[in-house]
Amino acid sequence: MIDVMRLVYEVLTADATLTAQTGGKIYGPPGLPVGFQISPAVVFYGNGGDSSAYIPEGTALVVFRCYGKTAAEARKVYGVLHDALNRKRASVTVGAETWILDYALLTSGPYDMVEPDLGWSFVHAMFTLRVTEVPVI
Amino acid sequence: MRVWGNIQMDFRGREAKRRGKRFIEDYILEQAEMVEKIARRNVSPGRGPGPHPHRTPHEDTGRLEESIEVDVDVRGSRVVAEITTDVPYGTFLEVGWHARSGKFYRYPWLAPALAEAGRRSVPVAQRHARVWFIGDLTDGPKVVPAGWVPPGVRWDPGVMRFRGPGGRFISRDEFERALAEFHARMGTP
Repeated sequence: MIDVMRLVYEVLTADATLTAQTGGKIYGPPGLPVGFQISPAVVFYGNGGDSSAYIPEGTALVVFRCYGKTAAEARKVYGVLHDALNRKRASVTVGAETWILDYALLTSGPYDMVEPDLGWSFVHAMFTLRVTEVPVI
Repeated sequence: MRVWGNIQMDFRGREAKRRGKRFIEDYILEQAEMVEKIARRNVSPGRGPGPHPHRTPHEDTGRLEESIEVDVDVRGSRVVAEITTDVPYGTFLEVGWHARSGKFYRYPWLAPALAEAGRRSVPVAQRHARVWFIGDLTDGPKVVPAGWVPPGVRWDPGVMRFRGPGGRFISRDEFERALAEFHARMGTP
C-alpha cells in the first residue's frame, strides 16, 4: 500500500534546493514540532483523494504550508517547493516497495496567510498527486 | 454507377444548447445549496468544533453558520457556484492553525460538505436531466440521452446485466419492452 505522506516526504527531502532552503525542516502530519521557532520550513498533510479498485493507482490531495520569517521568505520557500514538485515525476523505494509519483499538479493557491495565534507568515497551497505502485502504461 | 449509404442527423444546436445551459444552471444551483446546507450543519452550534481549544472562554455564536453564502455565476460556457464566508476564522477552521502550545488544530467544514454533496449528486443530475431533456416543458424536440435506462430498471456492472423491479435479472427483450413502454408514456420517439 502506498504511504502518500512518506512518498511526499521522500520526494521533498531528496530535493537538494528545497533541503538547503529549509535547512531540512520538512514535516509531515501533524504539523510543526512543538517548540518550533519560526524559520523556513515546509509542513504538509493529506486532504482526501481517491483510488481505483482495479488498478494500483490513486490520487491524493496534499496541502502544503511554507513558512518563513517574513512573507517574502515564505514565498521564496513556496517557490522552491513548487519547482521541486509541480509536474514532476519521481520514484521512491521504501523497503521492498517502489512507489511512483506520476505527477503533482498545483490545484489550489498559493495563498499568502498568517498564523492567527503566532503571527507567522506562510504560503498555503494544495497539490493533486497521482501515485502508483507500479508504472501504469 | 455509384451506391452509397447515408446517415444524417438534424441537430438543433441552439435548442440543445439552451436546454443544456438551463440543466447546468439548475443542477449547479441545487448542488451549491446542498453544500451550503451541509456546511452550515457542520459548523452549527453544538455540532461544530465547539470552544476553540486555545482560547477560553469562548462563546459559540453561530456567526460562521449564518455567514455561509452561495453565489452562482455564469462565466463564458461555465456555470460556477461559490460557497463562501467572510468570517476570518472560517478560513482557519478549514485550513488549520498552530496554537501557541505548538499543537496543530484543524476543523474542516467546507471540504467535507463538498465531498458529501458530490456523493449525493447523481440523483440530482438525473432529476434535472429528466426535466430538461425528457420532460414536456417546451415545444422543442424531446431527446432521450444515449444509455438512458427506464425507471425501475438498473444496470448491474458486477454481472453486466440489467436488473428489473425487485432486483431480478431481466432479458434483453424485457428491457426493450420496458424502454418502449417508457417512450410511449413520455411521448418520446
